Amino acid sequence: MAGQPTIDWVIAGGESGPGARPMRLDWVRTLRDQAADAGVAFFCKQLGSRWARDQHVDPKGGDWTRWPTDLRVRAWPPVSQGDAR
Amino acid sequence: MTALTLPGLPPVVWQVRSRFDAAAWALADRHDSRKTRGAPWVGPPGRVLVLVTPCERAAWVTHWPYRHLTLDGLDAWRCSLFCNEATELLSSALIVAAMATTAAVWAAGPRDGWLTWVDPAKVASPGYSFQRAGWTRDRSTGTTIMVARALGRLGIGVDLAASYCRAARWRVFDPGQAAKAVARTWAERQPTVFDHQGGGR
Repeated sequence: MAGQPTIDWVIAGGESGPGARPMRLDWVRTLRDQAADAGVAFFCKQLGSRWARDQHVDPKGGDWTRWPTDLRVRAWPPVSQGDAR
Repeated sequence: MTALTLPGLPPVVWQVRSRFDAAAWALADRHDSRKTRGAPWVGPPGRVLVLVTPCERAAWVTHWPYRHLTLDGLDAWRCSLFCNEATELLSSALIVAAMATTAAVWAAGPRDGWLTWVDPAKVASPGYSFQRAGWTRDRSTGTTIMVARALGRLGIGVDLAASYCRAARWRVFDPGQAAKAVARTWAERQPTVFDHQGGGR
């Protein structure tokens, strides 16, 4: 819609810390695909403590070298002139 | 003020006082949450209910701001002060009694229930007494949106649970939380990365 703000960046991440709820990886995948279809940068921050506990990896599931390869997406939106400092 | 008791009735736990009650603001002055130390009143502007124990060693303030005046848009009773210097009074029991007194005085409850906040840097067991009184600790959710706002962006958060959205909404719009997010975001901000993959000249 003309004149409406648009989404620059989609960031997805599972919860961390005690009591964290599970995040299904297909939720991340569908967000990734929707962002790609819309031409929006997608950034997967972490897979969360529940996934990390199951996989015996770092506490927040933030080490992307341990993730399924198709989820290793950390794209940034284009840097505008106003962001350069 | 002297507490009056009647045979057969439980002792008065809380007394309703004015926001200008000297015992209330003296207690508040000694509490870590006090923002206007030395001011002869307690509680933020708007509807407040000030409670003090008969021994004047514990105080509670319920704040009920009009929803349209709040940044977070929540219709909630907010405990803006709770301090207990009386070692013989159980804090969780005082909290339960303060909630009951508030409900008795302000009959119609708010849509979004109760809220309070505890600074973990200033309290040995953050929220312990509230949890003993049946409160639940909200998750530190909404951080990404807070960082977006700190960087001058708009953030849209999505969560499966309404209670988490409520907690995030409060965190995002609370001035104290926002100030912390701004400070931390800028302290940790990484330099902008410039990349060039072509065979530039």
